[in-house]
Amino acid sequence: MLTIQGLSYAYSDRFLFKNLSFDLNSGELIQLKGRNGSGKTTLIKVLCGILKNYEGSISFVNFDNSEEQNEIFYLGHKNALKDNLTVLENLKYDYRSDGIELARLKENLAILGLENYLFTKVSDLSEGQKRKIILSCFIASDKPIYLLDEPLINLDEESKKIVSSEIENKINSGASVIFTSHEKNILATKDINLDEYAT
Amino acid sequence: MIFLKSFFSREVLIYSKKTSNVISPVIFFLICISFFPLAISNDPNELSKLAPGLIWICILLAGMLSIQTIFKEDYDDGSLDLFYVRGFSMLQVVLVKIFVNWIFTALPLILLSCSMVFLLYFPIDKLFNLIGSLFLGTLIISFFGALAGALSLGKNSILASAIMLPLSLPVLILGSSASTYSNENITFFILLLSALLFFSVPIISLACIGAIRLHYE
Amino acid sequence: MNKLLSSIKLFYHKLGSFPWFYNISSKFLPVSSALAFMILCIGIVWGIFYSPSDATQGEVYRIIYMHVPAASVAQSIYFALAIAGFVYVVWKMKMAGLFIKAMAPIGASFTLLALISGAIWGQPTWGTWWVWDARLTSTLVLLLFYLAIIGLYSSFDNKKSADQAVSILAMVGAINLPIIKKSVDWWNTLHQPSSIKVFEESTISPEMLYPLLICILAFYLLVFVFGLMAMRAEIAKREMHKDWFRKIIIKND
Repeated sequence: MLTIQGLSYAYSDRFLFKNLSFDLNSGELIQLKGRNGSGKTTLIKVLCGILKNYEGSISFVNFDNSEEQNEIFYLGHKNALKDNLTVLENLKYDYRSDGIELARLKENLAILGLENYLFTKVSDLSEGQKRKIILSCFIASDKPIYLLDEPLINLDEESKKIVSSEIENKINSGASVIFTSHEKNILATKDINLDEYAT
Repeated sequence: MIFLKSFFSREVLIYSKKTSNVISPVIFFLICISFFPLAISNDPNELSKLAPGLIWICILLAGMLSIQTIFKEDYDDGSLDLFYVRGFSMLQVVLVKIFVNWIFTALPLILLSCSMVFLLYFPIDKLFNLIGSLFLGTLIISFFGALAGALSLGKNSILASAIMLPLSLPVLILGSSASTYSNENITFFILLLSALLFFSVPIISLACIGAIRLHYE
Repeated sequence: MNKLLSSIKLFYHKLGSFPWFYNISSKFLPVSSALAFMILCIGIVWGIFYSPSDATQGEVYRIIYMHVPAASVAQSIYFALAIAGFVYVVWKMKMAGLFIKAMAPIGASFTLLALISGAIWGQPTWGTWWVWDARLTSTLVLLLFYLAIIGLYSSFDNKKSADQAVSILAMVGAINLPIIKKSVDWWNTLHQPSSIKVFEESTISPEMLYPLLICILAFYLLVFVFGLMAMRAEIAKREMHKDWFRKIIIKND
């Protein structure tokens, strides 16, 4: 689905990683490993299209004429939730919950224990609860590629298990996932260690 | 088109929830206006002469405070990242943001300037000129302020004002002239303001898009 | 013809290379500094001692030998910054970004010099240190634009983003500057029909004109020299860790 060839990213005067090449196929779960600062978050941002000044090539294959941009689900460090709107209003205008019916979103919020918080302002929620709102979009969504940056951060044990199993469900239904995590909960099919590509 | 509508509704919703967005420029404007009679002179003749310039200065300052942060919130909480991921047209984003900000912050101020007829003894026959020039001028100022905000994104400094104010000088001069003189002369100034607006919309929007982009490198 | 085009292209590519520029400028610098200093001396001495005194202003007018070149240079540098900004944004030439960073303080200094010399000239001639006419006001705004560029550059940590930001600002400012000048002009013609003329260029006599032209040439040469020095310093700052730079330093020791 996704082919990376010779990808390098320069930051100020030094390269963060150089000559990275790998393939992402349907049903694969890739974990990005590396020390802090080795470029895991940067690589995810490059793959998403947020950072564009990279060298090398990124190509999406086997997509029918729909735009590439619509096929990626990005979960970043920042939540991108508006603090002064309620959960429901946020979900209504959030592009991660695009095309998902409200009933399904409510179901998934319930899975993570947030069914009673639909009309609460986001600023009244804890960090973990804010994260869960976006994770419920993740569970409900149906994209071919998922790029998750620290999906299990700020969660309680039970939710971590739920999210891990949801990632596995997505893999089993043919999507592909690249994630970074310092946790041991998720078993990946492939590892990419960015320390090997550091200069 | 769908994106434009939904993004517009999103921005309107965000602005309408935070009443401080609308109230703060109004308070600032009124306080600034009050400085002049209190600190300089409350003689009606003098105030009447100074009124067009004073109104324009205070509108510029109040607008400066509210326009510079239009991209800051979305940049800080990661929403701008999502726009890039989904490949949304940044031109539409910039234009909608500036326009919605103008509706919620500049429009109340323009309406409020009508009351300057009483507060600053502004000559009532020139009121129409004032409102017309303010409409055009505040739009231009919004564009320059958005560029200043985009260039200084993520930096908490007074730099954005330092960029925006010199750029807004022509608007101040033209708008103030348009409000001061009688109808025969002002068509010239209004035409110039319209021309300025017409050219700054595409040029400054493109500059804004480039300026936001460079914070992602 | 083809040879000319290809040599121009070669020059353009070389211009974007830091090592080539550093080497070439070290050869230019001594000659051009001497030339600039010499021409400046000729112009100043001629202007101050050997040109006739003015009918209305007496000896005071001689400050135009500093004021006019400074003002002319200040404006030209800004438009050069705007062109460099355009080159940087469109063709991504690193040298253009460096040019903006190096020349902005030089331009600001000359603008300040123009303002102060203008004020010194104004005081004995018209009785005030300052007058808000089109030229002086637009020079003040020019100073503000320069300071904005310097301030914006310093607010960035990443030099590439900083170059991009000041390129955008320089271009937008350059479009704005003529508009400001014209609008202050029209404002003034409505307010003061008898505008104070800062200087009457059309009636300047040839004996006063020649030293003025020499001083203008000298100032442009000075800016060239200062510009080379500033750009070399900026190259040194940016390429400090690179091999080619270290070799040059070792060679010079």
